[in-house]
Amino acid sequence: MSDPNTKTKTRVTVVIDTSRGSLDTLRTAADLAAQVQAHLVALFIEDINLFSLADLPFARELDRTSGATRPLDRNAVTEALQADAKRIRQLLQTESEQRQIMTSLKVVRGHYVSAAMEAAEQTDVVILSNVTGVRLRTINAAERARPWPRTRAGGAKPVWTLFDGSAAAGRALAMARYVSEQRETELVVLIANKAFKRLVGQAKDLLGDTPARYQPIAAVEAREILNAMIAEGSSMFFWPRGKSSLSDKLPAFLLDELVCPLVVVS
Amino acid sequence: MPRFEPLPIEALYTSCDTSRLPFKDTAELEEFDGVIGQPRALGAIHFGTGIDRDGFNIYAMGSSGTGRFTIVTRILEQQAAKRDAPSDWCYVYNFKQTHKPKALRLPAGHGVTLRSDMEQLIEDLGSAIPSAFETEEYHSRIEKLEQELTERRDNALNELATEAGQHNVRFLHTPAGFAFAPLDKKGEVIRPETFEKLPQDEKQSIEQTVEDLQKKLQRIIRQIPIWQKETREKMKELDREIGRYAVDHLIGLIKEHHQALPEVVAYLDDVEHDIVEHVRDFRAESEPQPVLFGVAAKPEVLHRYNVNVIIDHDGEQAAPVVYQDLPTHSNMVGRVEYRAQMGTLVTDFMLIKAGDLHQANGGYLILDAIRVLTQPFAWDSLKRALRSREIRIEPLEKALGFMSTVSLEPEPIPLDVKVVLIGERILYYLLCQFDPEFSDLFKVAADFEERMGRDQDSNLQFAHLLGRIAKQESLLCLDQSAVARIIEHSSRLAEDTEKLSIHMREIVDIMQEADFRARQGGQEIISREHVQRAIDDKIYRLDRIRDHIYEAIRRGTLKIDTEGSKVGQINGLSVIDLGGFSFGQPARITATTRLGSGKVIDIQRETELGGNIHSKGVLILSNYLASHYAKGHPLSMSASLVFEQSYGLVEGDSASLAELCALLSALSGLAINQSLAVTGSINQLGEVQAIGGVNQKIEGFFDICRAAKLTGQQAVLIPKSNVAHLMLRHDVVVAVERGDFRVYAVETVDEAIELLTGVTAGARDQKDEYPSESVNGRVEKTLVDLATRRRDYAREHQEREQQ
Repeated sequence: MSDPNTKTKTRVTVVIDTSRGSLDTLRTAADLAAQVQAHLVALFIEDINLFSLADLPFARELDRTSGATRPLDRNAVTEALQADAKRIRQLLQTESEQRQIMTSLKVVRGHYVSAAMEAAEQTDVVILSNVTGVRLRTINAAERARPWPRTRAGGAKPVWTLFDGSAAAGRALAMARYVSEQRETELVVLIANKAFKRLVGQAKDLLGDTPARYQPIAAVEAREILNAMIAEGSSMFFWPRGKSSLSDKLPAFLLDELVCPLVVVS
Repeated sequence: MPRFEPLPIEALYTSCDTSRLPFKDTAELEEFDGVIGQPRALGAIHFGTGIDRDGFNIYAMGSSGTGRFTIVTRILEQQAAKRDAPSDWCYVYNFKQTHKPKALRLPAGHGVTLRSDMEQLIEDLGSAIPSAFETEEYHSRIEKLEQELTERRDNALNELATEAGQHNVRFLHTPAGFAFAPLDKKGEVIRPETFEKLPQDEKQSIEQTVEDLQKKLQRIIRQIPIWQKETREKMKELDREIGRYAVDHLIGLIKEHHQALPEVVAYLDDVEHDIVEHVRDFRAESEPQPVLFGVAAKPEVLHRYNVNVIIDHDGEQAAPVVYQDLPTHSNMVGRVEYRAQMGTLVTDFMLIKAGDLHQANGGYLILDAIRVLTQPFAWDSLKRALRSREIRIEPLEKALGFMSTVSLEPEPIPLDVKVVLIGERILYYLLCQFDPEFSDLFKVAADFEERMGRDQDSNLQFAHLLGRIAKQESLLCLDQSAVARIIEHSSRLAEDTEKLSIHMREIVDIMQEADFRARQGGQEIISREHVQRAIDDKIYRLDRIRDHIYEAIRRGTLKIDTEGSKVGQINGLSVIDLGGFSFGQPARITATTRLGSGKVIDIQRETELGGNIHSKGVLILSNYLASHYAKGHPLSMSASLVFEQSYGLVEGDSASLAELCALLSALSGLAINQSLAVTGSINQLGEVQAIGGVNQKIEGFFDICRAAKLTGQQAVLIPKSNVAHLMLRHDVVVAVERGDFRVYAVETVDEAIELLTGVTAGARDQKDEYPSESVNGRVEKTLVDLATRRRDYAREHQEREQQ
C-alpha cells in the first residue's frame, strides 16, 4: 500500500465495512480517484455498538444466510473485524496497483454516521454506502437474471447529482458525468426551482456535449431529493457540500433511505 | 501288344472348329448383356431378391473368379432400379432421455430439408430471442420482480427493527449476520456493568425480549430463500412467456413445412418446449466460456437442435446397392464417434455415423463372407441385425465392457435389407453345419457353376461373352482364331473336352495379356498366336520349379528310366500344384515281396508322408491281391511299396494302378517296360478309375522322354474314363501324330499289366486256374508257394516248440 502520509492535491475518502455493497463502493471510489488522480483513503469503521453488545452475557449473533444463532463475544467481534480490515487492505493494494493511485486504510471505532461526517469535514470527496440500515441486496449477482449488457435504453438506474452553481457542485457534476459515461447510464441533474434556468445553463456549459436530464425540485431538501429519485432508482448520488457545514441529519437520513452510494463532494 | 491301340490324335485334343464361329472378329458380335452357364445361380438370386420374407437372404457360393460379384451386383442393380429410393434417416436430440438419441424417418430428400430448416431456426433464434429480452418492458418487469422481493424482505426486516425499537432494542449488523442489542436510557447499547445492576426480573425481561426478536428474525431469514425461489420462478415464467413469443412463429413455419410427417411435428413440439424451457441458453452465448490451458470449451447450448442426417437419399431414384469391402462391426452397424474436449472424450448425437446396414436399408447389401467371418464380432452383429430386423448402434468397446465413460444408446432403426454373402462353398457347408442361425438367416443358396457344357451354342455364347469383356476392358477385338483358342484353353482349364471353364478371372487375364502382346506387335486385333503367347508366357513365368525338377531327372539326380525293363519298378505320375500353375512329375515306384503275413507296407504311410486317400488306395490293392489270387490260401506275402526319391506328402489314389502293377511285377518276376508311365486308381474289382490332372501327367512324362530322346515306344497309360478330359499340349499332340509318343487308355488292371509287361494277363479257366505263363498265373503260383512255405515254416516251428 502506498504511503498514507503522502500529500496529494485531492483526497477521496470511502467509508466502508465488509458488506458486498461497501466493497462495490470501494471500487467505485478507486475509479473516481483514478479519474481525478486523487489519494484514496478507505475509512473502515468498527461499529462500537458491536463491542458493547459483545460484552453482554446473552449476546447472540444470527447468521445472515442460515439464521443459526451463535454466541457473540468481544474476541469474536475483534477477530471478525480484523479479518475484514485485512481483506479491505488487500483490495486497496490491488486497486492501487491496477489504477496507479495512492491508497491508504484508516480504521476507527465509533458510530458510522458521526465518523463518516467527521471524515467529510476533512476531505474533498466522501463516499458513503448504506451499511447501518436494514436495506440489503435481496438477490445477489449470481442469483439475478442479468444476462444482457444493459444499455441506456435498458433501464439501468441513472446517476444523480445536485447542482447549485457552487464550485463543489461543479466538481460533483464532473464526477457524476464520468460515472454515468463509464456505466453507460443516464445522468440526471437536480436543480432547485428558483434558479432553474440559470443553473441549467451553467450545468450545460460544464457538461459540454454530454447529454443529461435536468429535473427541477422544490427545494434542496433530503425528502425532495429522495422523492425525485425514488421512482426511477439511483445507482449513485453526488451531493455537493454547501458553504455551510454539512448537516448531520441530511446524510444520515439519506443513508437510511438510499440504497445507493452517497458521494459527498467538497 | 497288337490288341491295344494307342489313342488317336482326335482323342488327345478337341479343337474348336472356327468354321462354326459365324463371325470374323468379336466386333461383329451383338451386344451381349446376359450371363452364361449360371441358370441355377441366376434363378436363386432372382428368387431371393423377389421374395419378401424374413431370412431369405442369399449366399452366393462358388470359386473365386467365377464372376459371382459381377453377376450379383448386376442383378441387384436391376432389381434396385425397379424400387423407389428408401427413407432418409436422421438422429435428433432426445429431450426426455438425453443419452438415447431419437431416430426420425423421413421421405427421401426430406432429411436435408429438415436439417437446413433447423439450422435456419437456430440462426433466427440467436437474434430473435435476445431481441425479445432486450425490450424495456422485459427489463422493467424483471426490475419489478426484484423490487418486490427486496421490499418484501426489507419490509419484514424493517418491521422487526421497528418492533425492536419499541422494546428499546437496536437491530445491528455484525460481520457475519445480525444481532439485537438492548439500549439504555440514553439510547446507547447498554453497558455490561449497567446491565448487571438491573433488577433480576428486568434482566430476564430484556433477555426474553431479545430472544423473542431473534426467533422472529430467524423465521424471516428462513423465509427469505422461499421468497427468492418464488421470485426466480416468476422470472422463469416471464422468460418462458417471452421465449414462447419469440419461438412460436419460427417453429410454426417449420411445422407447416413438415406437417405431413407426424413424427417430425412431434419432434418440433419437443424442440419448442425445450427452447422455451432453456431460453436462457440462447442468451448465455455472449457470456465467457470456461477455459483450460488456453482452450475454451465450445458453447454447445444450441447444438442439440441440430439434425444429424445419417442417411440421405436426396435425388436418388432407386434402392441402394451397397458393397462393403471391409465389413467390420462398426462399418456395418455404425458407430458413435468421440472428440477430445478439455482433456476428456465427449460425444453427442451429431457424432453418430451410419454403417453399411443403414446405407443399404431399403435395398441390398453385398458382403464377402470370409471377411465378415474374420472381422471380430462382425458376423454376430450382422446376424443380430437380421434376426431382430433393426440396426442397433452399440460400440464394441461398450459391448465388451472396455469402456466406462458415458456413451449414447441411439434408438434402433428398423431394418429392411436383403443381404447377399459371397463366399466359397466350403464356408457355406461349414456355416450350415456349425452355425444353427445361418440356415434361418440365409435361406437362399445361389450355387455358381465353374463349368458349362461345350457345344456349338455355348461356344457362341462364350464368344459373345469374350466380346463383351473385350469392350468392358477396352481390349482389342479378338478374331475368330483367338476366340477358338480361348475356348480350347477354357476346356483345358475345365479338364474336360465337353466343358468350358467359366472361371472368368483367368480368361480375362489371358485376354489382357494377349491384348498387350498384340499391341506390342502393332496389331489391331488379337489372334490365336497372341493368345497362345499369353498362355505360354504365363506358364514360363511360373515353371521355374518344373524346370529344376526336369533338369534333375535329365541329369540322373532323380532316377526315372524311360527305356528298358525292370522287375518291381514302374513309372508313376503325380501332379505338383503351384497355385496358378500345375505340372506332372514322373515318380519311380518300386515294390518288393517276401514271405510274410499278408501285409502290404506303404512306406509313405509308415513315414507319415502318405495322405489318407493314398493309404486307402494301398489297402484296396492289398485286398485286390487277396481276393484275386490263391483264394484257398492265406495271403502269405509281405510287400513294401515306395515312391522313390519322394520327400514330400503323397496324396491321392491316382498311383494305385501303378503300385499294383509294380507289385504284380514283383510277384510274377516279369519286368515292366520303363518306357511307359501309368496313372489311374483302382477298385477292389480291378477296374481302373478316372483321376485328376491327366493332361499335366501325360505332358510331364512326355517332357522327360523328350529330354532323354523320344523313341516312339514311350507311352502313358491312362484310365479310359479320362479320355474325355484330354486337352493335351500342342507339342504332345504333334509327337503322337509323328509316332514319337503314345497314349493308351485302359479299363482294367489286366489291360495295364499286359501293356506294361508284354505278357498276357490271363483269365481263369474252367478249373478256376490262370494259365501258368500268364501274369496272373505267375502271381498266383508265387502266392501259393509263399503260402505253402509259410505253412511248412509254421509246422516246423510248431514241432520245434513241441520238442
